[in-house]
Amino acid sequence: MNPHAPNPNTLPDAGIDAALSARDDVILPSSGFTDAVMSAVHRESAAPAPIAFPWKRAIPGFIAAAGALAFLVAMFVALFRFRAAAAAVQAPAPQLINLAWFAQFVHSHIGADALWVAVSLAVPLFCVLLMRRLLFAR
Amino acid sequence: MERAEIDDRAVVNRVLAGETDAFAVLVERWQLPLVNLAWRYCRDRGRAEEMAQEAFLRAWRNLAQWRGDSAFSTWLFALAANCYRTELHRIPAGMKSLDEIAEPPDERLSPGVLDNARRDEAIRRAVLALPEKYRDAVLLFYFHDQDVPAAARTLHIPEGTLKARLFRGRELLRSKFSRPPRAAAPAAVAAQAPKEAR
Repeated sequence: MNPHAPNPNTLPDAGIDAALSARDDVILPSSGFTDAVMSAVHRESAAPAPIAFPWKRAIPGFIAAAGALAFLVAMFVALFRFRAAAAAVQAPAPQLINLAWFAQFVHSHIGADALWVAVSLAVPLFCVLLMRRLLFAR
Repeated sequence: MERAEIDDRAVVNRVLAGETDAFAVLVERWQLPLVNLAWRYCRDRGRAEEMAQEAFLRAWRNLAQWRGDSAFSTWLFALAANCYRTELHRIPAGMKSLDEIAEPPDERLSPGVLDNARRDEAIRRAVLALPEKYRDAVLLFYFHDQDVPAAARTLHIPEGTLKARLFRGRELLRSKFSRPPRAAAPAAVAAQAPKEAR
């Protein structure tokens, strides 16, 4: 058997070419197509321009959010360093999810107000993310 | 620069200058290829017109982005193909998977009886069931009359990539429409029967 002989059981390229480049596989647009497109174009041109995103006003907000994020990261880095130091001196290591210990840590090292500042920044950030998800998840 | 291209540029300039009605000239000129490209993507006449209309609307919105470094047709076809892909992501064409598509009748069993139109339609629908990158390569290659550079420009991919995708796409189509050798089949069944009986 000649391995280079064309396989009679497969569709030849000519068959694919004939099917896909067939001149009779053409449809004509309906007579009202241009009018329909132009109606849509006129509707769109008559509509008021979409309001541009207020970048100038939003930039301070973005900077504040970035600052808050950096603050949170720094806070957690400090927390893990504190845990590592505690473990090194054989002190009973506090649990990460121990909120009472976390509050005490924040109170003694950062200050109670900082926690509320972080929470007040995190809540709107969460709201924005949730809103974006709800709006664009369609 | 070809005359049609100069005309396109002149019309685009008029539209950009605020003459909205001039856009109708572009619609008239390009409606046939755009509707037919959409038709190849969905095989549904009504939907093809809707998709083409959406492509024209997008062209209208983004007309200022055509800078004239490529032909207007190249820009328009790329925009339309992108629009059709997005549309098919949103609502896929009423199609079956490659395995579900009925094979055309075997022309070797009844020479001359095979309905060529049915076979061609089965092949066209099989193209829609190909993975997206192969489907686009095959559709645009044949839409551009088997012009590799034109299809590659429309898809924004190198010609070599297009050729590779085209090769793979055609291979998938061939495998779909291939049949096991019939002469060997009865012998194989006969040889296997005693083993199964044991």
